[in-house]
Amino acid sequence: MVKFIIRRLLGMIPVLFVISVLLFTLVQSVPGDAFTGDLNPKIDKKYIDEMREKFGLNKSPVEQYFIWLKNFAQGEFGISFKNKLPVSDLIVDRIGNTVFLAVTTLIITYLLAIPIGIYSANRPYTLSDNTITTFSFIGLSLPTFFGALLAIYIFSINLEWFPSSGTVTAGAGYTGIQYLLDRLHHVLLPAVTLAILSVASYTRYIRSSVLDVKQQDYVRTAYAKGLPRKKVMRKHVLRNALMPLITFFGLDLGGLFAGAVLTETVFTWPGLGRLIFESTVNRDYPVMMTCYMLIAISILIGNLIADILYAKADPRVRYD
Amino acid sequence: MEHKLLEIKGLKTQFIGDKKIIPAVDGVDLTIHRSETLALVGESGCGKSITSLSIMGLIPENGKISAGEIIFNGEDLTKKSEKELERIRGNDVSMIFQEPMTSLNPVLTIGEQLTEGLIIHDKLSKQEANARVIEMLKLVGFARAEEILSEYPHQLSGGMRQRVMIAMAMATNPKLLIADEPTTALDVTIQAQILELMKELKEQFQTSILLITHDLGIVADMADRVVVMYAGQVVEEAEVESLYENPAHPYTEGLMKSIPSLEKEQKRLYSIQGYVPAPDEFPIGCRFAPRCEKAMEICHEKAPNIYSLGNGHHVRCFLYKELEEIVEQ
Ligand SMILES: Nc1ncnc2c1ncn2[C@@H]1O[C@H](COP(=O)(O)OP(=O)(O)OP(=O)(O)O)[C@@H](O)[C@H]1O
Ligand code: SF4
Ligand SMILES: [Mg+2]
Repeated sequence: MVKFIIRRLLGMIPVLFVISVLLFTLVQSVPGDAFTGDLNPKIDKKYIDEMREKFGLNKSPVEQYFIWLKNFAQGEFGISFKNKLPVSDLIVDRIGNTVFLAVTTLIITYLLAIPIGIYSANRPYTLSDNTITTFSFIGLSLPTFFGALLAIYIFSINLEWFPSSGTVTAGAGYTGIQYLLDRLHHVLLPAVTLAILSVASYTRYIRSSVLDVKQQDYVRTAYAKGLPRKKVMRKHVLRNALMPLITFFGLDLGGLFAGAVLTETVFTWPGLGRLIFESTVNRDYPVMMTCYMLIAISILIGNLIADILYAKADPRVRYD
Repeated sequence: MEHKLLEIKGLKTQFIGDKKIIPAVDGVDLTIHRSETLALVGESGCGKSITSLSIMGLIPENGKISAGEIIFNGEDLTKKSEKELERIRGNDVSMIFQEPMTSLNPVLTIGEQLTEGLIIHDKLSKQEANARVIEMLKLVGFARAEEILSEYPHQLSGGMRQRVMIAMAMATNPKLLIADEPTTALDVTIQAQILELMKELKEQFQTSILLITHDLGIVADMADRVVVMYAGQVVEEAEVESLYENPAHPYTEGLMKSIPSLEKEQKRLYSIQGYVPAPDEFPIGCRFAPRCEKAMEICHEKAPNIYSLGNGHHVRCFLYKELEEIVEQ
């Protein structure tokens, strides 16, 4: 297995190289640069030219790419044009928040979607199943930002159950368990908003997967053995029906670092998603490139983890 | 001891499909005696599988038994609760299926799947169950039985999987083994081996077998008696010899003629014209009439009763209406 992992990791290098070329081209093809927007007349044009020179923006794109690549490969992510801080510091600052939000979202998603999906599959086309289906489609068709705004409007502004922004109560100086509860209080609304979307699609998927497995011959065999219904469900149906979720888990793991750009922006959640949003608006190339590469890497790693887990869960799948 | 192990009387099993009722099994009577092999024969869609699943209490969710009795070992299975049926399934009545490739769970080891029934029914410990399973696997022809326990279904061939299924079914020493087309999916040499194995085990365990097949070719070799089903009903019932010497029902005759023969050089294989009507469009008269070469006027108007040719040979056909009529239950 170690050999398999090493082979897969090595295989990622050319993929990442191609992705980086594409990303760099995309980023460069946006007209203007980080200093175009500085219309402040007090800033001397000479100063801007100096800055451009300093950050290497006057070099040819190809030259710029190779300078970036050399630095990136050595773990030098550069300095943010905007706030003049090292990109690595910016990311380290934000990543914790994004992971916390993403993990909470994932947990909520699984806790809701798995029971609802199974419940639905066990009584297909009944009133309760149809109701769940209807809500799933509403959930699926609700745009994230709209859902987020609606959630803030109802639960923060009207009901005042949850704060509408931030990760902790500023200046409260909580410690220990109180600090943890305060963070949970802040994360819940954005997490649930994000989860609703994936709950909808997960529920649909789990429902059809369980329905499909219930029809399999081996499930009939299990009943023919005289196993009680509960045992058949647990041992024969669910194990097979939920296995494909491993693939989704891998994708979610990859998406974790992408953060939820819109949700983080609406909830002013200082995570990677908002960093991506801000850096894109500001054409802050070093930050943009690093964030995008981080997403690419995490998606590839997420896939690798999913493949490893799948091979562990399904004896028919071999490492090769 | 009562001579009859299983007696099905007037069994009707229906499905609800698209707001109409589908009478898949429509008044079936059949009896299986102790340590007897009964073959249930008929073309695809005649209701053979649904009859056997009715015995097991495993009809698909959209169906139900709407009439009749299934007396097994003196007790009516149609009146049993789900819990009681669980104790009978896989214990007193076992079943093997047509598709050995898909009848085993792909993600559990053979050992796990073979022992779970024993652990539930015979209250064996894991070790005892393993020992019993190894014994069974050797009996069905696995030389390296111990190793098979930790293997997965995809590592075995179709024939081997069917052997595993048979070991699973026989491990609890059932009184009745239902085999629903156990060899249809296998190639001819493997088919012969599996049938041979079933015969051996039947001798050894004194199990009754309900052998479902649409291949009359294997029936002569395996069965004591034959029940021929057509369109949800029994159309002929006889001892094997009696049936082969004197197939009474035109449908049985047609099935006989469609057996490929090695002795006679046949130019073309005979097949009965037309197809089995779907359960929601059974004809009013004799259900076989539209395909019957001997159909008479009355056949299209009235449904025939059952007549006796003597010696337990019964037939549902107007050609025999001069004979003694059997009253259906
Ligand atoms: N779940 C179901 N819903 C509706 N109709 C069904 C269902 N299952 C079976 N039937 C119908 O019942 C009839 C009898 O089916 P059955 O499976 O018993 O046939 P069979 O004799 O076993 O045929 P085969 O040789 O193909 O296995 C068929 O016409 C089939 O379409
Ligand atoms: S009753 Fe008539 S139609 Fe039916 S099988 Fe007999 S002869 Fe043919
Ligand atoms: Mg069948």
